[in-house]
Amino acid sequence: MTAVDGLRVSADRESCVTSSLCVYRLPQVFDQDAEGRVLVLDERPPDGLRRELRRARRGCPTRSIRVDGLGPDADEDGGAP
Amino acid sequence: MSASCPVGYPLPWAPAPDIPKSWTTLTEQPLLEIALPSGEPALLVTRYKDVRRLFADERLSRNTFGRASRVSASNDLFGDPNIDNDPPQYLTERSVVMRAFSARRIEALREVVKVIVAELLDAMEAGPQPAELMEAFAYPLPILVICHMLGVPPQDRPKFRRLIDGFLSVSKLPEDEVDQCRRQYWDYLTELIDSKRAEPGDDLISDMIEISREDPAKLTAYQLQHWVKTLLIAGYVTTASQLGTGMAVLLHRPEVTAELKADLSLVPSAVEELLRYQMMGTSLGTLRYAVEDIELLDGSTVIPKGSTVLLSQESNMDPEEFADPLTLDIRRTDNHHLTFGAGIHFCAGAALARMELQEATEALLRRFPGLRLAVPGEELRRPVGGFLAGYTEIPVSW
Repeated sequence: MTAVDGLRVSADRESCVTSSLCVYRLPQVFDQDAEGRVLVLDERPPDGLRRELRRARRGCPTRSIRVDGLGPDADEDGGAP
Repeated sequence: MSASCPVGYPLPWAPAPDIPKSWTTLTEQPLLEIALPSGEPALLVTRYKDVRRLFADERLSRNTFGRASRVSASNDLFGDPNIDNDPPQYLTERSVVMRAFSARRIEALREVVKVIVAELLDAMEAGPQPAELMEAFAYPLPILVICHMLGVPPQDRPKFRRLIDGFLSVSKLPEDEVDQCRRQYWDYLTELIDSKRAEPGDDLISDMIEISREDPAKLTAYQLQHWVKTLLIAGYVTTASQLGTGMAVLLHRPEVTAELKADLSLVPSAVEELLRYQMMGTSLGTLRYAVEDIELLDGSTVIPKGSTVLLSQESNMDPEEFADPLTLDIRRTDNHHLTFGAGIHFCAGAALARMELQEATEALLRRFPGLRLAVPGEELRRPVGGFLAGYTEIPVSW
């Protein structure tokens, strides 16, 4: 498997509103800085976390989480315009 | 939907702690014309996907004062013409506050909450049965927690609560009394903040004062006071109401209660499901004003510019999003309910509320394995004319 096949996580710190949902769901992947804004601890999480990553992405109230390699969000049409 | 006859809002509740079946069919129309308690018109967005999307749509402004319909004739609630609730100003202020609500800060409070919970349950256990859950537990817990967090002295608690209850009256108190509570509450906050300026403590108000002093562009003195006002109210009534009414919803279902007691690791997902059920609230807190025409996802329905809009909490019952929505399923996964909203106004205290609800629910079930409603669920009463709709009294035995 080459690197491009794996998952790649990024998060938009500007739009983060500190819901903390991702941190509680996947503390091994997400954290927060002193201001409460999202930090990605593990940009290349293992494949076994796909389901929880999907939930973290979907649950984010400002759609600030991006996961490449996970396929589209089933709820994308409900996302921010 | 009938243009000539808007539906009265809030929608009527079922007599028992159940969601009315009719809520699952609200989504047949994407927009429902409603009449607010003031009698003024608004549009209720009914479908989960629309609601979720519109929470993040800047064409719906939170600056409703003076241009949107009023919630009630006598009460503007959080409307304040001196406060800009839209970006970018709102985001600057919010970021000052949110550092106190990060997961790490909330987890640091968990031990404090455990102690407060245990003390309240000690007192409840020592008292007579049936006990009244709201007074004995659900009200005091969040008040003590938010007062601890913000640094409100314990002796101010009764005064604080009386003023808030008056402030939140939508129609149960006469207009002049509501107005008086509002003014007294504001004056009380002025005193409180002045005392923190003189003698800072290890609390959120003191932190905010410090930031405001360093950089008034981030937070003026007035904005600071507005945030304290909002945090104190939001940190108290909503959690109290959800805690009490959530327990009533649970205890009304003894088989679900037994399932949860048998496996307390389900408490977090049970708390989420009780939040989705959201039997304590209405959508009145989501009041917004459309600054442009906004098309909904069906491609044909349009919210006209100038409309007053509510984003329905009832969309937690949208069968397109939640399988078997009327069933209280404490093992539900993918439970992305909208009880805390979404977008930039997502409830600042959501993580705090969750933590309190988890600690409270688990401790209640551990302490009182025989906990049950002391009256049939159908006999529980909701308040008349309040902003929230949680049960006023919840008698319990164990």
